[in-house]
Amino acid sequence: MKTLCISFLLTFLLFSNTQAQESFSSEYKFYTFLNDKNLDKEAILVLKGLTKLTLNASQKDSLNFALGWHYYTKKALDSSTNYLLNVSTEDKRYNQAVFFASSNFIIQKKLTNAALILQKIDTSITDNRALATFQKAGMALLNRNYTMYDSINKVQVFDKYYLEAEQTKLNDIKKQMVKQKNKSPLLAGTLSAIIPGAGKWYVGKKKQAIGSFLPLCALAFLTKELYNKTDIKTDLRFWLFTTFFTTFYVGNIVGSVELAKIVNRNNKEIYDNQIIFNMHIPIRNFFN
Amino acid sequence: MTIKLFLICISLSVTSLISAQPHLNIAREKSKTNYLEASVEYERVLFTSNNQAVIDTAILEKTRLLLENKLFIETDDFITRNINLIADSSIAYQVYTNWLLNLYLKNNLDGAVSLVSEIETFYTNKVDYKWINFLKMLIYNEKQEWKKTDSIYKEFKNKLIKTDSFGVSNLLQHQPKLLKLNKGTILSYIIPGGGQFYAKKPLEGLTNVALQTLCLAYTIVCYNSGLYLSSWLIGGGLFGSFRFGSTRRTETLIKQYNLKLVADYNTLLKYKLIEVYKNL
Repeated sequence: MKTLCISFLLTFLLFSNTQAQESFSSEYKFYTFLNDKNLDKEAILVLKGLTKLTLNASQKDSLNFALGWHYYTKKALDSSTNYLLNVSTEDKRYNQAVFFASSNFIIQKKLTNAALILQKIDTSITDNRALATFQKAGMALLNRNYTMYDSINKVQVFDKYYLEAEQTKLNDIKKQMVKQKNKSPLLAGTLSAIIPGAGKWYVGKKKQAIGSFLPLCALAFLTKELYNKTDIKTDLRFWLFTTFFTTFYVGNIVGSVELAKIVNRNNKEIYDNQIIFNMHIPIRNFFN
Repeated sequence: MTIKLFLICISLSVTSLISAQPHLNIAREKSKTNYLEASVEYERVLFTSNNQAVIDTAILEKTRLLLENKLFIETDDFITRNINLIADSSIAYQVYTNWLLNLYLKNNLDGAVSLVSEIETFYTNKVDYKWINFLKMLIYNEKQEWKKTDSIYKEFKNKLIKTDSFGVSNLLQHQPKLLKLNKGTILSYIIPGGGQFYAKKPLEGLTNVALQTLCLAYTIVCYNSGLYLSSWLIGGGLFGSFRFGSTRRTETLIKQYNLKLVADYNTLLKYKLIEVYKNL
């Protein structure tokens, strides 16, 4: 009887261990099933349930990668980075995890963090080295450090199929950025002070410029007419329109200064987005 | 020692058996407390089960779960994805009816109309005449197609209720008379404030007339004083603004009035229809 019980226990232990392995594997497949159906809330619930199991190192890596990837696709970048950086170096998806974590940082404009993470990449592999260097070149452009961008381009030949097109695009963006001159807020304000609306015309907002010029002209002529034809000591209309004119005139100058700043900021944002987009494509193409 | 070991073995065997409990039961249990966990368990049934009857039941129960939780978009997605997996036609019919209800609640009225005809075509023997016609009347009421609602109600009344104790027929005979947008616009062009009067806002109409008169008076006074720019730009400008603004305002008022009229009628008819259905 005793021998029978011991042998039952041993069999049970062996069976439970195998069951735990199978449980992870089947739950992971179930997660994929839910993810394919775009049932995000359900999929993440299953993954979170897996974290409660006792897992071996390889399973932990798979889980961290899956969670990181899931949050990445849902644009929850902070959570994604946390999980991706928990994938251990032993896992075959380690480099992919690091590249995507750095990409998350780049999207969030945390360039220092991205550069630090990229140092973890195993650059003895040619593809990794090429991708990492490409990312560094992109970051140099984001920092508007054209000298560094050119020096990276000189050293590294981006002859990989997944890099060629994007490198050409980055070069084009760089040329456009070098050509593009920032609009001076001071000049915009001064021009608007001389001719109302001229500052807005200078920053490229022609309709706004006309929209400022015409009402201000009308107000000026009205005020002049009231000055000429009424007794300004008794008739309040002149003072009322003088106040209107002054307010609009000063407002137009301030508006032109702010508009120049906004235009500069928007232009920078547009270029940044183009650079980030083109930095991201090779990583997606290579690892997918 | 042997007895202890034996007891441990028994306990482990029982635990192992409990863990093999079917997911469908777990899903039913969880649906009482946490819809998301229940949803996962229903999906697990679809993922693991080879039993067609269990799959059919899981699809029907998850549909109901999502609908009860007012997750109309999710319900639509779930049914669209899984309707073809159902083998049992009576369960498929039930899922279809839930789908119809979901489309009505989601305000996808065109989709609901097309689904009604699909149900009537494919499930002729199973269709619940009372329920489907009740829903059809509600759908056409929301679509403001009251002639269709009326014709369905007449047939419905002849077959099931005979007497119109809730006055639905009478209500359907007196459909709301909507204000005409063109008439209102033309009136506001011809007579200052006329559009607002037509849109049942006499006070606003009178205010508009007063403002337009004041602006006109200011224009004339300035012109006579030789202040031509002030006359045209201020007086004329303000007068024009009120004149053309009045036309735009009339359009808005008429749209608001019509919307309210329709919404009130809709609600009243809907409640009367529900009362009729409840008393069947």
